[in-house]
Amino acid sequence: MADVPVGILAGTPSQTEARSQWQLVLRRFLAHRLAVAAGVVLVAAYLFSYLAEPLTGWGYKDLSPDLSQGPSGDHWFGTDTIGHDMFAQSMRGLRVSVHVSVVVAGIATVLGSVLGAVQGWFRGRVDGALGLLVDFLLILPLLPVLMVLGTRTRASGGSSLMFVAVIIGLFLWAPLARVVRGEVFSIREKEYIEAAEALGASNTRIIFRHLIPNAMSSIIVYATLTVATAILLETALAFLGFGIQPPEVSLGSLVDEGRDAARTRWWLFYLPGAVLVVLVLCVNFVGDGLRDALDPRREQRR
Amino acid sequence: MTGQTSSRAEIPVLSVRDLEVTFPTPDGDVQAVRSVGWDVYEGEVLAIAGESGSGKSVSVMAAMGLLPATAQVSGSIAYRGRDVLAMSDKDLERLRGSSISMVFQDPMTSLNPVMAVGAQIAEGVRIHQRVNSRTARSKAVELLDLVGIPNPSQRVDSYPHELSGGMRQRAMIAMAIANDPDLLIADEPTTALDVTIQAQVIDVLERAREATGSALVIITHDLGVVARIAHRILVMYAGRAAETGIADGVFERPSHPYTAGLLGSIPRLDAPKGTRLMPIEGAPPSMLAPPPGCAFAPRCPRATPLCSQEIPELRPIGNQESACHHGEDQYNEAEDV
Repeated sequence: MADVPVGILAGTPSQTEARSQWQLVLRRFLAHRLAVAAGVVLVAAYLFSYLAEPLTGWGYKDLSPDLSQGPSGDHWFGTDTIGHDMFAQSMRGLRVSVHVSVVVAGIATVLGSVLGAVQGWFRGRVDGALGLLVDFLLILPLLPVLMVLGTRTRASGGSSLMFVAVIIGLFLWAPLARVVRGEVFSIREKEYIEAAEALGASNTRIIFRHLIPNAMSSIIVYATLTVATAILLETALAFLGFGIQPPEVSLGSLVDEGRDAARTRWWLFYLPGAVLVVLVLCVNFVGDGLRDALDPRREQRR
Repeated sequence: MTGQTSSRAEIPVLSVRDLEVTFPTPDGDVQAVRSVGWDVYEGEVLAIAGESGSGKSVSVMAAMGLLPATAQVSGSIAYRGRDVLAMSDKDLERLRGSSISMVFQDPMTSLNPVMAVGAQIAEGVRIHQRVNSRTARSKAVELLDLVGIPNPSQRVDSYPHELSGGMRQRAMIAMAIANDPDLLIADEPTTALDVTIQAQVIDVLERAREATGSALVIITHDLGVVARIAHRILVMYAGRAAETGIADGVFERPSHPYTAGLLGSIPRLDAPKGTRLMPIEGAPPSMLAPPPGCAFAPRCPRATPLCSQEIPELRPIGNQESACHHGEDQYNEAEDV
């Protein structure tokens, strides 16, 4: 195809700084103060968790001679019965919980968005087959299933952290797929989808460039929820003795272990618990900010 | 449609023959298009006019292979001799947007709200041409300039909601001509726009057609809007062609009472002072069960018993072709005025 003749254009297009869509998103995100604050706390806490050992001198596996002590200059979060430094353990737990939940949410979000969009776009048999799978996953009692899988992986030589995360992720995409499918059913009727078809866009392009981006606000809200769900699921698994195994710790396992001591040695329960609450809150605030930033329709006219 | 304007012996860009489109519904089959044929040649502007539901949009959607899967289509649609109806999905994808492209009715809804307009134009370029994103982007800027969007190098990053309706329609036109199509189809391109913008958008369409050398099919219910640029007109009623011919001829001496009605219902600057606008009484027939004979008969001032019995075929009257049993009377009366 020949180019459109340029001769009739009024002058050459002036050079403009390439302002990509993501720069715009970033700018809008930065305008959301709470989300920025939450994001800063989140990143700072995560990075700080790597500084815990050099700063306090205690690693999360170290056993100190101070048993069951309250918070002090040496042990910021106190120690437990066998002398673990709770600050080191909490920071380690934070890191583990972040890793697990990010992997879980990542897998669940990608699978849920793509499969949900495929269902909504192709409809018919594809929708039916995937719909059956979604229904099946939704009615599965998640905890027992994960316990069984946990037992098996333990038998076959210890469950690595990421393996647990991947397994949880493979089970958590179904609700999102259902949400995205519903959204796509409405988006697909929009004229701009027809316009994209009229432009010769392939199915893949329509799904990834038009359908999923337009469902993005729901997807992000859901991804945020999934992070919280993942932290809680991992907590439950750790409590039941599956998933993360000692000496590895997560915020969930720390809270669970400190639960009995909440009245007597409050620091064992409340301090890791506070870290957990702050973590989940921050994730939610960031999710809010991302939703606003990614959806240009929410922006006021400049 | 033999009342061809030009003496060019070339083959048409798009040739539609005996097209019939039926949509099965729970209430019965809706016969949206009942045997329509038209050709459009290179560089030509064809206006397809008619009321809502006359089958004008459906017939061009069929040409792009964009009808829903439930539609039953018969007849033939040939793009430069290749049968569009028999094309595979892959071939259709290649055809759409590069050889035949389309401008939709409502620019408010036909641009993706979460993509910058420049990115959408660039997407169209990159679907059909092997260029990198930088080239596609500068192409988008050029196209925005071509369709008369001020400050194109900044507007390229604007989102649809940041543009006015007229600007959006210009952006849609830029998208449509991004790959230098042979045929540009505009489906009611001005209907959703403010009256003051309509003429501008029509001008942009005409300029886009000149820039690409494509043929242009404009679908409209408002003959006044296309009067200036249309070379030929096809008037459709109830899924059939009512009248077709050179634009000037149709405007001056309509040979179908329906065309006369359409023309009588729009204000004209060249009408004698004191002329009243004449609405067409009644509503178009249900396409579930179109009336036997001429579908326009129930609303037609010239209707005779013959009209509700026999379907009038398209036949030459004067310089036009008309599907009316009383076409000559209409044609001759128009001359008297």
